[in-house]
Amino acid sequence: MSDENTISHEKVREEVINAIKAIDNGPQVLKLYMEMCARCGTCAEQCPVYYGEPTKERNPVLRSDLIRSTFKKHTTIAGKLLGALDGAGDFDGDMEKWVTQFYECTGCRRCATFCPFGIDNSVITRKGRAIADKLGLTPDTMKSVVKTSLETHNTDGASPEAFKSAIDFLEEEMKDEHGIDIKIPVDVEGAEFFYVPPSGDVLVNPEATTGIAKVFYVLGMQDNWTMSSKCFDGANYGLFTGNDTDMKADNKPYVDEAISLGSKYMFMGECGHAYRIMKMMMEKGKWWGDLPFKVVNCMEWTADQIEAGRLEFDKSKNPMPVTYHDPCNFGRSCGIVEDPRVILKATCQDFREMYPNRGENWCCGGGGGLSAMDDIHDFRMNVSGRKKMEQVKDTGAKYVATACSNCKRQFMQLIEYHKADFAVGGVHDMLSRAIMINGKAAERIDYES
Amino acid sequence: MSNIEPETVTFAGKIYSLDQRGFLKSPEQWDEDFAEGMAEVQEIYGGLTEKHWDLIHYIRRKFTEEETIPVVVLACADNNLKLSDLRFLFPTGYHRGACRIAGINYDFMYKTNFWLTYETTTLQKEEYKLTHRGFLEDFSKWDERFAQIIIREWKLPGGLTDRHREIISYLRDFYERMKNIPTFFEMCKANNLDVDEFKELFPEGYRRGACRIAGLPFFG
Repeated sequence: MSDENTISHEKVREEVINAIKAIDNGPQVLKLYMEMCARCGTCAEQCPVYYGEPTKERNPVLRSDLIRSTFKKHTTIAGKLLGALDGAGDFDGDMEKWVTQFYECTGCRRCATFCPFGIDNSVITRKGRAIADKLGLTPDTMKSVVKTSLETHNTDGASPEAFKSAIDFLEEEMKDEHGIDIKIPVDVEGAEFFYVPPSGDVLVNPEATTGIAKVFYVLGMQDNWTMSSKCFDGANYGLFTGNDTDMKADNKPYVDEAISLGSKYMFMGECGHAYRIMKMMMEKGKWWGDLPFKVVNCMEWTADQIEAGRLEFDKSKNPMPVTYHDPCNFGRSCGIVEDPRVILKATCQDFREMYPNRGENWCCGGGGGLSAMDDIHDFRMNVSGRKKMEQVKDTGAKYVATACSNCKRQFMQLIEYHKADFAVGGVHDMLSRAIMINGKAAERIDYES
Repeated sequence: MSNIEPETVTFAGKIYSLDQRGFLKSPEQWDEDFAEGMAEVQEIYGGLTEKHWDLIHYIRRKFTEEETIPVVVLACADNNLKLSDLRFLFPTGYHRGACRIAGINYDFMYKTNFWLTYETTTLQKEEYKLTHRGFLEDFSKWDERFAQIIIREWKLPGGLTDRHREIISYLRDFYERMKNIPTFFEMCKANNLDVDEFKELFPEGYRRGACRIAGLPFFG
């Protein structure tokens, strides 16, 4: 038995080293990240994980060094000649440590914002995860999420029938709130906007979706948008496991569906990484060539409508102090920072900023897919989420609005774990409560301020 | 650490072990006593009603027969419940409230679908503002939950009984009309109460016991 182990151990080592060597022929940017780091430690100070627990294992430089040192040892001349003096060292074959460490980086890219060279440790983390994924070492939770998503096109594993009954239910809910029929169109060909939310915003916390439906209703555009009963979950965990094949396979059905529906806009919901994949990777990188539609975000669009004065709100429906948490994928990676603020300022009585914010906001501690992993629950609560809790407490807000399902799940658990006194929800949730239809906002009894 | 939930609970004399997140550890241990006991912990006062049981049995059925747990919107759609009905029935939410009372353990839910635990209910209820003596500051803010909290403080074995409710509503009624409290004897007479029974019901006495639990201000 021990023989078998050593063989596979050697093989694992070889594969890892080969994968790292391959970086030399890969994208220029990762190669530069391998060579450039001056080890100044700026990133460590800006890292939410290192802030939570300043130890060696949590330091982004040293985490990245798992790959970097091996890269230097095998590919650069300085590394080959000078060895440890140049920071080169060989991979020790400890894959357990490898996986733990790379699944302790939230991929928030805050380090990249502050690094004098602009080194983005999340790219290195993703490479590390990709190498683990090739060896089948991705944590089980992640594996199962990716599997469900590839099989059913949504991370909930819900069938089209289940989805339709959920939509019927939401239409009933809105009828109760406003006394009129507000439609959520499903599978309508030729609709201009094809709405792709995270599935949680339909099946678990549906207020964001009802908010969107109400905006379309008020604008008289009820027939101009649609959802798809097959593709209703933008979440794509291929980004987090580092597996490009999975990521593209997960993405393809959505593009196909948008084309077969004949939509002009792929209308992304409140999901940071889904929007980033569609906008920054798929559309910009031309994964599937030139597309007959544009990718837009629902918050951008709603904010435009508000600024044009087409929507009216009853702010008294949201009297509590509200703050906005910039999801890393929206704030840092896609530059959607002002739009959610426009929505919240229009719909809430007391909007407060959290500091720092926008592109410099701290990660909630559940980024990079960690939010879905309950096996590292304690780490997320005590280490990576620590800074966020302090930040929210400083604002005195009773409601944290954020446009990301992963952030919401992390926040929910933080609140529960630390017995904190605030609530969390989406941006369009606030809009859904305050928007006036025929001069009246929704009448609901279950909200507590 | 204070953040970790207690490992066992005792309801109706039976001990149930809980997992780290305060969910029933082994589903076989579930019975109706557990549901009733856990309901009170989940801020459902005055016992489980038929509507509660309908949803609980539905969850149990899904769990035992289909080995799955539907997400909140689908569960509501199946049971003809509005989301607001659900919040009324289970103030701490679907997965944290209803599923917990139905004895589903956390790991099972997490493995079935991690989005289940994504539900963002308001966990925190507003705390009652009390005077330095522990009396309710605002008479109108009284509700049954307040009485339940005080009863728990007194550690009465029977909890809040209908007899308590009778006397509380008498006191509140009286105060609302007269802006004063009845004398002890008036109160006993009106409620057909003798001193021994009173002591059993309100171990803390009249003004600091009965009047306090009824949400009346302190009369020195």
